[in-house]
This record gives sequence, structure tokens and C-alpha cells, in this order.
Amino acid sequence: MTGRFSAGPFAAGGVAFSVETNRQELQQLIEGAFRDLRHVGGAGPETVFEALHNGSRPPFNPWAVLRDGVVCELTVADDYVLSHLLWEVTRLVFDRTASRVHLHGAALALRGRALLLVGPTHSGKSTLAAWLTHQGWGFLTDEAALVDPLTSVVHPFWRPIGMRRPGPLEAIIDQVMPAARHLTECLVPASLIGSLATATPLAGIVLISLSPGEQSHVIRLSPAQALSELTLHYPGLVEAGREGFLGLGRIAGSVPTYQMRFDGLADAEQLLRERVDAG
Amino acid sequence: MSLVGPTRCPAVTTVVLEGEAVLYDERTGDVHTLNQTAAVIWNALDGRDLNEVAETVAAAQGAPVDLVRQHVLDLVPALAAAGLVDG
Repeated sequence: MTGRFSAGPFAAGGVAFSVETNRQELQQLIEGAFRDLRHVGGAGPETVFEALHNGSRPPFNPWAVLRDGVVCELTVADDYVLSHLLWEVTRLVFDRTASRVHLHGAALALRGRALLLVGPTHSGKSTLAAWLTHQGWGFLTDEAALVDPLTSVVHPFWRPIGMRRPGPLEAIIDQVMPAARHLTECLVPASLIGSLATATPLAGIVLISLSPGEQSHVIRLSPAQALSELTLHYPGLVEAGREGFLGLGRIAGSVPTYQMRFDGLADAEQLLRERVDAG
Repeated sequence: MSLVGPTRCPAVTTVVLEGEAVLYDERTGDVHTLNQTAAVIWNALDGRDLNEVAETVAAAQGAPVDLVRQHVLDLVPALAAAGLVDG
């Protein structure tokens, strides 16, 4: 159906936004995927994203995405428009929370203490974040962690978790999102599989890598090694400059950082529980 | 103190953690890590000549000055090659 449809209002990291589109199907997808970001007033002036279908058919990419009337992208594919919107929302949140350190990672809380799981794409962050949420950890974020460098508190950014098929959590996804059975990638709101956590002090940072066939293990890095490694996972470091680096240094100096290789989700969870207790 | 030696480049920010130093070069985004001895030498690179750097570091660390001088002579060209020091 065409016309003008509004999704939201939403808020993330104290930043309010809504999305307008000319396709009702997309509005419904956004309302579903962004349900944990739903918000009722009080987060300040609202940024308006638009996702507009230009009517073209494949092989052309039909979607334009705008932020407050300014074009972000003009040729977004059908199966990528939701992910692209999420990426633009993340950029907005990063822009508006410049005093925080932004790390490419997931964050989960257990017993009032947070662990940050950092790693490159395909290292298993999202899968592990979803698994831990399903196992009772509180979900803080996936992919985009907001950390206060003065207090080392992790602030929530309840982005939906990006899940891929095939994967070890297919059964869980099928159960909570039966309509997404045909998708190889989908965005799963964390509240569908577990609970959401509020701002939580950081107990530790874990650089993770999925290592099939290898025994799961953890080693602790020196704070200087940690800082050096973490700069690789700070996407806005160049823009944040000296202050950003000093902020990251404060975090690396105030909480332990570990390197964890893991083979299975249950092994990983056990090792992470031990890190929460040790941190 | 004679000010004829290398100095830390102002575009480089240093964070010292448990004696090790991590250097961030704002111009390039490059990050470098120095061990404890190198971190002390780095901190002494304020324009004094390299002999004075070696003597200062040796006194601070209680190490033989000849040994420290060798560390200085190894480290400073590497720092200069990475663009981290001026002069």
C-alpha cells in the first residue's frame, strides 16, 4: 500500500527520531524491528528519517533514505533498507553522543555488571549477545556500545540484534519471529528473547573470536595492549581525536580487558560469567 | 640542559598504563605501543640531547647508562621513522 506512513516515535541514547515512508509494508517492518526503541516523548527534538520507494523494479535499487530532508543514500536495495535505516540511526546516535566512547561491540549485563563483547564482523558478537540474552543476561546493545569514559558506565542502545541463517539460534528466531523464516538475515528485537538492561557499570571488556575446534579460553591483556586493540574497534576515533583517545585510555585503565576464543555458546557463557565475577 | 635533541611531536597523544605507553598520532590515526623502558625514554624526549636523555633515564631507573644509551639509540630512529618526534 502506498501513501504516507509514520513509524515511531523512537529514542536511543537519549536521541529521539521517527521514520516516515511511502510504503506501509516498510512501516510495519520498522515498528516490529525497532520495538525496543519505542518511546513516548521527553527525549528532545525529533530527527525525522524518510525511506521513500521510487517505484522502480528490480534490478534497480528503489529506496532513498533521508535524514531531516538531507539525502543519505539514493539507491538502497529492498532487502537492505531496514538495515540501512538502522545504520543511519546508529550514525545519528553517535553524532549526538560525542562525549561517550562508541565501540563496535555488544554489551550485556549480569547481576548489575556489564561486559562489553568486542570483535570484528563475523566474530560471533551478535550470536553470543542473542544467546546470553536468551539465557537471562540483560541486553544493553548489539554492534554499537555507548560507554561514558568518566564513569565506565555502559548506556543502553536497544538496537535489534542482527541474526543470520544458518546459525545456532535458528530455533529461537523461528519461535519468536515465525514470519522471518524465509530470511537469511533478520533483525530481532532483544525483548522477544529476553530482557533489556538499563545503564550498567562496566565490569570488563572481552575481545572475542569464534574459533571452531579450538578449546575455549580467556587471557587477560595488559591495559596498554587493551587500549591498542580497542582503538581498532572505535569507529569514530579519528573524529573524536585526542579526547576520544584519552577517554578510551581511561576505560582501558579502569576495567580489565580479556581476549576470548570460543568454540561453543555454552562454553563462552561460562567463561563470561567467570569474568563478571572476577571483574 | 642543551635543547638540540628530538622532541615528542605535539600531534601525538600519550596514555601511560602500568608503565607502558600507547601513542596515538592524530594526523594518521596510527597507534604505537611502547614497553616500560621505551615509555620512560619517550617521556624524556623534550629537546635535550640523546646523551642527556640516556643519563636521565639511567638515573631514574637505576640502570647502567651505557645500556640505556643503546636503548635510546635504537629507539629514537624508529620513533623518527614513524614521524613521532620532531628534530
